Amino acid sequence: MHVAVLETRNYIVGEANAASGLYIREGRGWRHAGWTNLRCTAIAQTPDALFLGAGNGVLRSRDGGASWRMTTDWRITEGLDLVASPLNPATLIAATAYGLWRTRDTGDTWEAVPPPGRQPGATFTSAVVLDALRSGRWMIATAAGMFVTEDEGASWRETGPRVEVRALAQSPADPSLWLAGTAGQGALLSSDGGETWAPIGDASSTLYAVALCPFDPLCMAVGGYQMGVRLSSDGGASWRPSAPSPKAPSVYSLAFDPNQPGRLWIGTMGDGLFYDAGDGWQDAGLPETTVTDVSFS
Amino acid sequence: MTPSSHPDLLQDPSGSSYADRRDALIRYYADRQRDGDQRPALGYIELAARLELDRPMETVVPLLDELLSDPTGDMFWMVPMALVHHVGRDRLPADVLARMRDLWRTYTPYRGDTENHWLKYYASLYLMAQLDPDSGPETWFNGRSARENLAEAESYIDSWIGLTVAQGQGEFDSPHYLPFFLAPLSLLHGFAEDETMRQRAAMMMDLLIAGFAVNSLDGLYAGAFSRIYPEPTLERWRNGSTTFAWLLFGNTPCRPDPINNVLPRPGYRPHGMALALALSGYEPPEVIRRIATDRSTPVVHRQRARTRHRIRYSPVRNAPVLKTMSTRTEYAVGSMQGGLLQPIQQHTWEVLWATENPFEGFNALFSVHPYAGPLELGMYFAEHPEQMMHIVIQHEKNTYDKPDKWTGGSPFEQVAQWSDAVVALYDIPPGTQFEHVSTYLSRTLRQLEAHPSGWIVARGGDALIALYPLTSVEWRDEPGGDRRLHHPHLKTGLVVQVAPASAYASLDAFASAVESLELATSTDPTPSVQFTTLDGHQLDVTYGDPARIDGQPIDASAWPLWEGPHIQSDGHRVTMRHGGLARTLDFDAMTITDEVPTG
Repeated sequence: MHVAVLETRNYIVGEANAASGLYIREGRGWRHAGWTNLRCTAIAQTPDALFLGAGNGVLRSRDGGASWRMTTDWRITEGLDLVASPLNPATLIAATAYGLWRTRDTGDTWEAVPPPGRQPGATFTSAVVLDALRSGRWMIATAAGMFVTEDEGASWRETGPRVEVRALAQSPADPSLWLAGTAGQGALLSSDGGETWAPIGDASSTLYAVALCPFDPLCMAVGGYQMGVRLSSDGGASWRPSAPSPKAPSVYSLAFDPNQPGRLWIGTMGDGLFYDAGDGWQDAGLPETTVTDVSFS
Repeated sequence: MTPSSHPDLLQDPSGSSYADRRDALIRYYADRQRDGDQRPALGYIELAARLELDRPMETVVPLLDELLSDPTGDMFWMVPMALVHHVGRDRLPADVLARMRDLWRTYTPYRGDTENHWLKYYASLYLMAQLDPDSGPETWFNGRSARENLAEAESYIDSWIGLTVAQGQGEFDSPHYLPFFLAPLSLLHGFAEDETMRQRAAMMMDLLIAGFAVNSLDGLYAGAFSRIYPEPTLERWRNGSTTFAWLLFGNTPCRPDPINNVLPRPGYRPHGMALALALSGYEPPEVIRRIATDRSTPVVHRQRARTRHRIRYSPVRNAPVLKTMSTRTEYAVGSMQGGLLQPIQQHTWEVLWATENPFEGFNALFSVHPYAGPLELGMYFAEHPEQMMHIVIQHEKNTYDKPDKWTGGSPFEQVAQWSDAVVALYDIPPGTQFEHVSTYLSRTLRQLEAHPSGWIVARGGDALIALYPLTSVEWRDEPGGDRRLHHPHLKTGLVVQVAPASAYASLDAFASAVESLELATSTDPTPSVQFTTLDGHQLDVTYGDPARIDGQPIDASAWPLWEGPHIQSDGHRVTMRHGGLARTLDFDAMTITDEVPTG
């Protein structure tokens, strides 16, 4: 299990900050791997490499985090999300505050993906998801809304309402099911592969993370700004609020554990990582950190 | 100069040459001794100075070893580290140099999120890579070879120069951050092996220093700024740029760190960055020195800059920033057009008057709508903007969401300037976090009087200042004897007219002259002012519309990069003039051409 830590409490650019970056679970503890203090937001794994999306760009390690190479140059910055293609391990997509970038050679070279539109905020891409059902179909969450491509980014169309979307996920259990988290307008659910969307739950919250259970399509979770986490076990018809950390009410990342059914991991903004296996929240460590991504081997 | 004379020269640089001041600054830092918990502690700046002066190695190596054991500061570490390495490469023992070099493998600096961060990062990376050009990726923190790092750094530096010359700086005119641009450029100018890179750096130094020269009064940065901290807004001399003015122009005393330290971080050295310039071999051209020091003739300059990159909530990546600057012996009046042009630390307009003793400070007048919000933060930063509000106010920018703050821009502010007159209008939507405007009235203003006409007049140094609030105001006392005009209205504004004391027999005579000027104001449906300035021009400003001068709208699209008696631009050529002296920077040909008086 890998966890990306964006920063530690009291982080100031250029100061003597505590170590952030990638942490790898070892037993019940954590091992820091590689770079510190790179404003890490996302983890991606391919069969032979580990990748980090970060403020400095995209890093690659072929030795489990012992050594790293910055695969991108100055043009790629402010990474927000990073995904590896399940069909072609050499292909990865990096979502950044300035748009999408793609590599077809495991990070040796990168090319810009055409922007989805000219609307303000359309290049600010918080999340990218490669459709598990259709090769070449991607969906992105931007500050101008969501966009879909059927041809690997050559052309785009809008989907859903024109609202800033910060988080996006496709259900592993039912890939026609998609869940999006908006800024200020709560969650949106699609049950037709992202063609149409409907609001679910509290329509005023700002969501930073959404997750869909790999074992049960009715089970989902959302989290965000000053709201802890909300859980649904009936496809979004009802929600149960929960607060893993009284010290850090904002949630940055959510992940259902694919290896342990029913276990949900929650990365907070400022108080580390928690998990719940149905018997209450457990503190998983990394105190005083903002956990931006949780990834499983 | 004698080696012991640098304290006197810091206090009084009059009559000194650039070489005098350069040598004094180097000695000042070389002589600094550890003094308890004083911040900044002794660091790379002191080491570079000692190395330059060939001080004994026992005064260098132990301290260097101490610093090398705990590298921190990211790009703020990279610049002084590269400086020490280059100054000391022929003096330091080989094993020490090897340890220094190895930190570029083991320490992983963050590149940062602003323009000055990136210039520091890439200039330092460039210089370190050129020292060891055949080194492989395994010897660098980023897993890239020296040649890859060199190429990437050069590409970024070229890109930054191109953007700056075409659209102006993003972190333009920052009294605090100018040192963090000039230091990496100084390193490139002083230590790059490639002659072209040295030339590019020198030209950018000329350009930035000339901009400082125009936008300053007796060494104090003046006018509208992209970034400034609250305390140095009121005590301008505290900014690191003042030490650069002392060094470059010799027109102000200075108190370099640690005497003055705005942000008491261990390795954070805005004043100390002047040492990089002192060691670079750069000397300011005479034409720029004269532009900075000669205020005998009133001049007005117009300047275009740009916002930092807007990444969302904006239809444009870099919005234009349109600046006006009027300077004369007694004062400076400067502004930009208002709006959210920089996050958190914007300073939109001001009057700054000359003072006998710059260390007294508190010699400015300006107004602020204390806006704060996630829109501004999200526009310029990639983090979640709601959460960023919490992060910003937890740290050194903790006045950001305060109703009585003295820095920051507002989306509900519009400013227009003609010569020594300024109109600032505010149209604040109901429900905005703070529904008022504040005008800063300094403790050093004299004869401050509110007249029945609605005009408030005062004397700041030898500047006569008249201020007309569009709506009723409350007078509030501030710490230290300052006062605040509190404008408790959503639709409000003020008109400001400034004149030199020498032009009037008394402050009353000035007040009478201003009161006789044509002035019509309104706040319904939106703030509006029609004002005939003291120099006879009609300034019409209605919130939301382009301002008009003598009936003609100010054409923002035609605003040049530089226009004025001392700096003009034409495409990618910038010419600086004073008297018969001129220097032209041609950024297409990458050439510098000087003109000198004939005969």
